[in-house]
Amino acid sequence: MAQENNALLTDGRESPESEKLILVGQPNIGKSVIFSILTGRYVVVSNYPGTTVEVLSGKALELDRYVIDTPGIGGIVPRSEDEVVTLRTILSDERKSILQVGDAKNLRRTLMLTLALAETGLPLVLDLNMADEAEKSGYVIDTKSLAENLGIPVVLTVATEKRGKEALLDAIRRPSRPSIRVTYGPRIEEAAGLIVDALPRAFPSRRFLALILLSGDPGLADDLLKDRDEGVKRKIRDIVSRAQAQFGEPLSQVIMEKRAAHVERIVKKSLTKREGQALAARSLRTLEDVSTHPLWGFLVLGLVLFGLYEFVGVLAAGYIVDFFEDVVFRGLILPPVIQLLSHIPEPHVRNFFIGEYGQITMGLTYALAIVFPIVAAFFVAFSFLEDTGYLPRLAVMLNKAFTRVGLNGRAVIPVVLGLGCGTMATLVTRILETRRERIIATLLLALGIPCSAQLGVILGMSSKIGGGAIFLFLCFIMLQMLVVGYLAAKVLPGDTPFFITELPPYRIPRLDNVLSKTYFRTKWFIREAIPYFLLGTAVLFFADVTGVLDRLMDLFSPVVVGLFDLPKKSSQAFILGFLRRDYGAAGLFDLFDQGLMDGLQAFVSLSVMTLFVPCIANVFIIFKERGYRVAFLLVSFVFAYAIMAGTVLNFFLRRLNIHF
Amino acid sequence: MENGKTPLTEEQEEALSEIWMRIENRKEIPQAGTSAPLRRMKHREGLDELIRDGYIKAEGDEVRLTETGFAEARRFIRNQRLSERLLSDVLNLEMEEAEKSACRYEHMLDTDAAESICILLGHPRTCPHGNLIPPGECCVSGETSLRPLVVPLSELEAGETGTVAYIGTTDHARLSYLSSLGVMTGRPIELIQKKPSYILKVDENTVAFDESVSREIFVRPSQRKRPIAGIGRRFRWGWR
Repeated sequence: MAQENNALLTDGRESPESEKLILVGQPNIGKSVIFSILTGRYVVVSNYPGTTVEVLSGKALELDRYVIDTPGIGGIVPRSEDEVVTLRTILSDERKSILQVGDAKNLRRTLMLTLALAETGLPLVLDLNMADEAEKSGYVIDTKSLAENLGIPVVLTVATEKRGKEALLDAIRRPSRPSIRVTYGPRIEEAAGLIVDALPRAFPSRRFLALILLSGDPGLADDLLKDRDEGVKRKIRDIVSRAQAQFGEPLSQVIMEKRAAHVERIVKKSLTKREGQALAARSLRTLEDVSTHPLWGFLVLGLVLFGLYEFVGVLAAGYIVDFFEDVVFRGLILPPVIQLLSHIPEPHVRNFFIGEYGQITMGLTYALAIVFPIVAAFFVAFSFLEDTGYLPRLAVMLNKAFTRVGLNGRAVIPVVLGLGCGTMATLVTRILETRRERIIATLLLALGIPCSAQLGVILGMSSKIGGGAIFLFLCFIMLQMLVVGYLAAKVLPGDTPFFITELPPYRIPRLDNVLSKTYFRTKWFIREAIPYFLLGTAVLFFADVTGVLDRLMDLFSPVVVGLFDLPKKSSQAFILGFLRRDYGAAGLFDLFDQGLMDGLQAFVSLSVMTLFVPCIANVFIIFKERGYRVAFLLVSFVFAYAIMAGTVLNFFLRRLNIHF
Repeated sequence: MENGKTPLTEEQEEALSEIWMRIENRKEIPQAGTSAPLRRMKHREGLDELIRDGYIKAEGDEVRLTETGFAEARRFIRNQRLSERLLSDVLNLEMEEAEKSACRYEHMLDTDAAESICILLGHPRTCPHGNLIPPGECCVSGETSLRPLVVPLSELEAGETGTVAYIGTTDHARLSYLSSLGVMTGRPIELIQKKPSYILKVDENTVAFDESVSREIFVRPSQRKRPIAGIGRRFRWGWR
């Protein structure tokens, strides 16, 4: 189960007595932007549904409230862990009111959720966001009529431009309990009543919960009433299945249709559409059609990848890294520092900082000169793509391929993010619906997706080995992923879940948003990475001084020398690789540069390194997210598989006499 | 009904049918402007209403079909005779029995349903009594494959439109998610593409999903507006 609080993004909730304001809404409608406007706290905001995977909280600047941002919910029946989190937040027994953030141009859809939330009996405010897009599409919304019909304050906002902020603050100060009440017919009402009675009296929002339970699978009661006693759960399951037996169609459909009928009535009264609109964004519309076209779509995909390669691989990993490494570090920073520290009399202490495995000469230099520019560049590119709205289209294009490995289009986000940082990506696997998918995605991330730092080093190296090498490398890694994914999908029980996603309109990314996202992501990465770089270097240093390194190298040499035909010294890179894959890859790069490895050896070692266990931070997260048993199996499998695949690769390359 | 007017009453439809048959009895081919004798008509009430609504004009002893009256009569006659064919040929009812049942639901058929029956029966030219059945669009285009009125989305071609009839799944989560995206009974939709994933426009939403989902969304396709050109016109009639 997802943690409600994650050390990564959330701070503590300080005063439990004050009333909470919970932001609820469908995915990708700007809850997070509203959250940061209200609290002044930064949140990663994107044009992709499902970016918020955990509950965030913060104090509202101009109100005496704690504001809680929740992951977007699609329907009211939860599909994935993050949606369960949202429902739990609504059902928690604190004093609270709800701010529903909805899409102004999709009034029907927004109101469906409003009617569901109205069942909670909690004070409610409806914010119709993205009013500008609705206006562009020719919609005129009568908020007064909406407010009258629903019995709650309704405001229009454009959160990204802070339009409507004052009205919103004013509405939040005076939320009210909705006057609208949907009745679902005698049989459903009766069942709902029975569930309400079965629930403990102290339980908040019982009717809301009852209707969710009636709309969901029988197992849902277990999920939402986790710590309630077994008898209550059994009783509720009985009521639900007895109610269901009276209908030919699923109860959720019956409930939904009742709500839809109400929504239709309200919409008729408060929504008008002006004709002859929506010419504004013609070029974006065309792009929308092209980028999901069965043929042109792949061309667009190719162009995007090429752009990504040029930007991250060539510009950042090549020129910028060279500049940082050669000019800034080796030219400007290191000489005076080394000069200064070389006065330290004690050789071990001196070497700890500026020796072969020195904190400054190795650890910081790698981290800041090589890894930092690459990661930053990747995050710029990713944030840009994310804000345009291209990523869901990418999911549309790749869904078929992902199905082969037991995933579906939704997994595009963790996988693409994995090209930036596997650790971050492993956290984001929460947006996937089933445990099976999360395991497969975690496995593939650990096994084959090289993170940007590593990718940068690989690209730099392969440009020296030769263009064919990188192509072959990519093919080899892809093949491994397909094989392992395919087998995992076969072995793990369960079906590949269906794929449904919303395609938001293309939007032109705002520079400040892209930059601030990049800033926070990079900062997060640096904070995560640098300690491990330094720790890794320190471990190596002590292993070297005490002679453990030599012994470890001896231990690994049968594998490294015997199976992969690599120089013995390269086992040091693999040990480093366990601390950080990119770090290990950088070590291999060094060996290659010094002429200790030929092209073939470099190729084999890089491939193994990529398949090898991911960096230690990622391993920690795998254990945290997947649990010990699964994580242990995953990591051992990846380890064994990397050795096997490397051996086979080496064998065949030598047999076929391929050299680079 | 099709052109946005209030639908004819059963009485009116029967009256039109009577006029039509009287014209045929004179060995004439009914057209806009042809007339029939008014004497001893059974459906007087319907007749008066038809005159009031401008479907027919009374001229002395005769009634004359107007443009709209002709179109309505033709549509109804077609439905009536197709119903008779269906009941007698497919359900094997006796002629008399068939006529009685047909009387009941010929009034309920809409053009789409009539077209489906017509295709199912292989575009019959005459009713069981031997009277001509006015051909519909489907006869002209020679369509031979029957298309049910409600089909899974996967049966639609890219670019087609329709309305959602129902969602045929028992998976609550899927149902709830689809409806939250606006894919609900009664909503108009447009299928943008089928490959590599399905893309559907509903109101202002664009929704993408895979094929398994598309087989669970049942839609009532809008009438096909593209006659299949060039495929041999199997029928040549005196009517337009």
